[in-house]
Amino acid sequence: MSTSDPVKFVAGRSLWQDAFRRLLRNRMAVVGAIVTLLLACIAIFAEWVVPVDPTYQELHHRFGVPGQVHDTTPERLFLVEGERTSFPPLRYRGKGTRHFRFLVQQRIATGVHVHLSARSKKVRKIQLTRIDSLPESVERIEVRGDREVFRHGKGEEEVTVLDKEIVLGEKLDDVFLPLLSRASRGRQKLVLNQVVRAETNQTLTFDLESDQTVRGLRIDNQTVATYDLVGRLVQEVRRDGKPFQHRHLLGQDMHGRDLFSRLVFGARISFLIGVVATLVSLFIGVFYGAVAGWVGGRVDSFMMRVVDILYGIPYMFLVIILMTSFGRDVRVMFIALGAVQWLTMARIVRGQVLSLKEKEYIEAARASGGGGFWILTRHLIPNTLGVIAVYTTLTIPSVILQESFLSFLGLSPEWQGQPLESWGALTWNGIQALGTGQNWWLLVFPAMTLAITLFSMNFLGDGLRDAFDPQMKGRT
Amino acid sequence: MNPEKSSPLLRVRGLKKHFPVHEGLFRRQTEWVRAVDGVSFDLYSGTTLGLVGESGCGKSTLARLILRLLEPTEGQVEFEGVDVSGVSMREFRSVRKDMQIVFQDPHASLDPRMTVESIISEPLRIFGLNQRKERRWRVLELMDLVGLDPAFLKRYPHEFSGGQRQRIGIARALALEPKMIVCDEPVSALDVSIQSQILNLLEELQERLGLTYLFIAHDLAVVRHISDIVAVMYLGRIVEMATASKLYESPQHPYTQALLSAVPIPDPEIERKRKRILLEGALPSPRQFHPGCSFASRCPVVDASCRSTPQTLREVTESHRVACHLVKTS
Amino acid sequence: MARYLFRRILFLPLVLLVLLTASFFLMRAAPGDPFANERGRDPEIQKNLKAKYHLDKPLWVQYGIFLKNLLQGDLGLSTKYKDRTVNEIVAGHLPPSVLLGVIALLLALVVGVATGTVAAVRQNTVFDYSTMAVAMVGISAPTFVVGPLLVLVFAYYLHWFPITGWGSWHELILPAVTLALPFTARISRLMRTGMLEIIRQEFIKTARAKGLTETRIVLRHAIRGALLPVISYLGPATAEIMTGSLVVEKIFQVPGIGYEFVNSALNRDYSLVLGLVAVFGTLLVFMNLLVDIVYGLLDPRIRYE
Repeated sequence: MSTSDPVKFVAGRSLWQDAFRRLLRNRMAVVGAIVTLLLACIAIFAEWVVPVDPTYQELHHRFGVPGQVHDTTPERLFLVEGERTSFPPLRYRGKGTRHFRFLVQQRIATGVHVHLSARSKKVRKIQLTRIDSLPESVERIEVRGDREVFRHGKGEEEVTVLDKEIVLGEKLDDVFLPLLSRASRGRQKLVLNQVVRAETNQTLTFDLESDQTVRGLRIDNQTVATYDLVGRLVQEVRRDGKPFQHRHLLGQDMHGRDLFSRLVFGARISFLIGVVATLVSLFIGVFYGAVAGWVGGRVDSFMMRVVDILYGIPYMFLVIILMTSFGRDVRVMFIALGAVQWLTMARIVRGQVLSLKEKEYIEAARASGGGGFWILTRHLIPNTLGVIAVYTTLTIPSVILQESFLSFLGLSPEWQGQPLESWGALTWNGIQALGTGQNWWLLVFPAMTLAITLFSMNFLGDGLRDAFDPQMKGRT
Repeated sequence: MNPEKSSPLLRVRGLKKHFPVHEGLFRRQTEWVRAVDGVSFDLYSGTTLGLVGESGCGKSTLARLILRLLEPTEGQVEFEGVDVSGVSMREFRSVRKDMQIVFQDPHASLDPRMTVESIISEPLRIFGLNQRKERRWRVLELMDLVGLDPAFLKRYPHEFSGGQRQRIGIARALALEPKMIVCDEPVSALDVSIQSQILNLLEELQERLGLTYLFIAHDLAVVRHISDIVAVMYLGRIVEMATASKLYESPQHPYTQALLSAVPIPDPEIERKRKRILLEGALPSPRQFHPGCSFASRCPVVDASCRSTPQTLREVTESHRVACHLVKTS
Repeated sequence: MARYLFRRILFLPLVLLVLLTASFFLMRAAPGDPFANERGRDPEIQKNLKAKYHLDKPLWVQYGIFLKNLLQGDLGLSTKYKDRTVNEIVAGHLPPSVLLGVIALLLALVVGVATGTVAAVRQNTVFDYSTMAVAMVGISAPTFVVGPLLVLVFAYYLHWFPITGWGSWHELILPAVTLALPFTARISRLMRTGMLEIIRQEFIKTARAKGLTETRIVLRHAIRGALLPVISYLGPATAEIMTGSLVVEKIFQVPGIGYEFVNSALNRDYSLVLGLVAVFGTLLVFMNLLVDIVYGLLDPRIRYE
């Protein structure tokens, strides 16, 4: 070939492509793959998928039936004297700002100027806004410039309406704040319809005192405002002050939390545990199996005997002991569950390495001058990857199942003291809350989600295994 | 047909390979498997030495010993006058280029995950020769040499037929321009019609490139066609070695005779008159140690002394050696 | 046969030993001791308590004592229920679990073998497909999901069975069925696969030999052959049943050793946990040995080894 031939090279079909095609033909496996991918996406993008903050408790709507849509009405904070409550770290809504609105009534002497200062650096401004959605007993009759007339149970009142932003440190000397109710005996009640903006990751704490009296407001433990007042009603609102609407597709639990949202975040937890524990088992198993297969001989027999012995143990018992002894930190669980699964992986890898070792193309590579490292990286590893991938896909659902099992028994994993609510934990909650059978959705939906996920992953794994079956290599 | 050089390209002396056998609960070593039990021969440049024998007689092990894919238990291998069996692997590496191998199984000898291009160019890559473009040139050259359509460069082994895969294997063996190629039953796994194609290819390449072959097979007809000298192996030892024509026309060793009697001759008249020598008994286990002739248990003309007297290859006529003390020297 | 059994007898107690050792050291490795929660006792009593439970001695010594007592059948004293020995507790809770387990196993065997056989005989019919589909569900769906769902349907809505409780036959059924389900499914599938293989072979052979195939003889032979993998599956199945019982006993409030195990683990009651592990392990070894013997008797290859 002395001249350059403009030859067109026919593209070949690698074994991966072959296997992929075969996989596509297996309908159940394809369905399984789609479902799994979908769930994985949901788990990753949980924040954006979720309609409602899963930790948001709506105590008015305990045990909400599936399919409800409602305004989030002002909630009363059910609290005991002296207790403090806080809203959890505001991490769930993507954009980073949340608005809370509460009516605060403050007694002040008539005509006194009011101070409102922001003492926390994190609060950049406090907005006094119009009252747009009013309590039922109050009605806006007329607007006259910057004054509005309200009618309420005790008559009519004309008040100044303010829409003002107050910057940090500014003193409000000459503000008359809108009033909603009459003063009594020379002291006026000042009602602030206060909308507070808090940035992500802040903790809003309403300091309460007996019978739900809001005394103070703290953001990240810095006191922002203190009140001497009566009045409560805290409500999360949209930016314009209007209340949200919550759609509860799958119902609500004992604390009024949306089940769908909890399931979505449960997906994240379950998948996370599944993947990490599988990775742990992968590292141990692949290394162990590869060494055993590669070295062979007595070392191999010994290593495999160990595996055989360990195989005979009912693992869950040890895991339970482990978790009860060392605490329920999620990292313990990663290791415990990974330690259960590595045996199978080791066996598989060892088998593959053994059979590969005898293959003539390995000898050919050596005859071509390839050393151990070359053969390892160029031949052994690529040919083992297929098998590893298949069994990884089958291990993940197994781990998820085991984790659910443990959660069910009360050993759900924790992170920094907070329980991580995986599907298993949710199922357990469902059983606890079953009562006399009327709260069926709390059990059925988590259970079904779990079952469907496991199904799908198992079908996918089985399909992959068939697709990579060496007997079918080369055939379409 | 005659040796062109006075010193052989490859010289094997007393090569032995014994595998230890581990048995029992603790894998104690109980016995040895004598796969190759003292083999010696010379191979001259440009010629083909055919090696025949039943399955399990040690031919493939011998092939691997020569290429140092296995380490010999005893014995020596000399290539171009240099001892290559005792040196370190690093030193041996430079000799690797000169001796290559073609395998029997066209399926297992090619990595299913590599393209044809990768497979053939692998030796080139390992030895650090050539840039990618040069490598590709060389690969296309080789493909042309073995009769493969260059358009298939990017294809994968499973997309080829058995015969084509063997061509790929041959191309790979030729990549480093070796002087000697060990062919380990290269056509045994192929259809009969394809066998002749590949054999012709091998012969053609030998002439064009001046190659030396060690051709291993169990099919006598195939070996006869391609070899200059033929050696017959039984249980790890060479029992007869002669030029092809002499061996086939007048086999001396009882084993060779039995083998040849089983090969059908296309002339029905002669075929009818021939007597088949049937061997009694089964192939003895290579674990057993035979102080005398290893063939004694099945030999139709065995006598008392056969089992105890060690047999060596003696020259009975010119360039015809036999390891049987019952054969008279002329 | 003898050699085969010998190997198994060596192997199985080794498994038990590993299990016990691992449990022992895992529990002890954790920080704290079981009496830490009980404040208000003066140090003298604490010391006595520790001595009583051998907790003051070095770890290896404790291990040795544990093993020694174990071999004599003494499982020690419970650290939570101070007036009872572990033996007593175990003896009290053992019968329900054994009963449950045995019933579940029998149920699984009978139903599994029956459905598998019929499915194989009526291959590719509606019965076959539906049975195998149900089997797939049985294998994939976890016990603790199926259990409560069954409770929901059969106890709450249909009111056929009581929800929890243990004592009468009526209360036995739901837990046994829940526990047996995955094994029934697996046995059914094993049976079917095994039989299909054998039937095909046999029909090919005899179809040529005779004009008529004697279905009854073939079936009997096929059933016998297909039973082998089922029997050998019973070994690992026992371990799985034990694990499953932890869940089932919790759901149905069955006062068995599974239930006790979880509680005692949560309570860090060392001796009870270890005692229960020992019991579980022994049962497991016993079952496995039994299975091996039966398998050895049935499989002609081993019988005549």
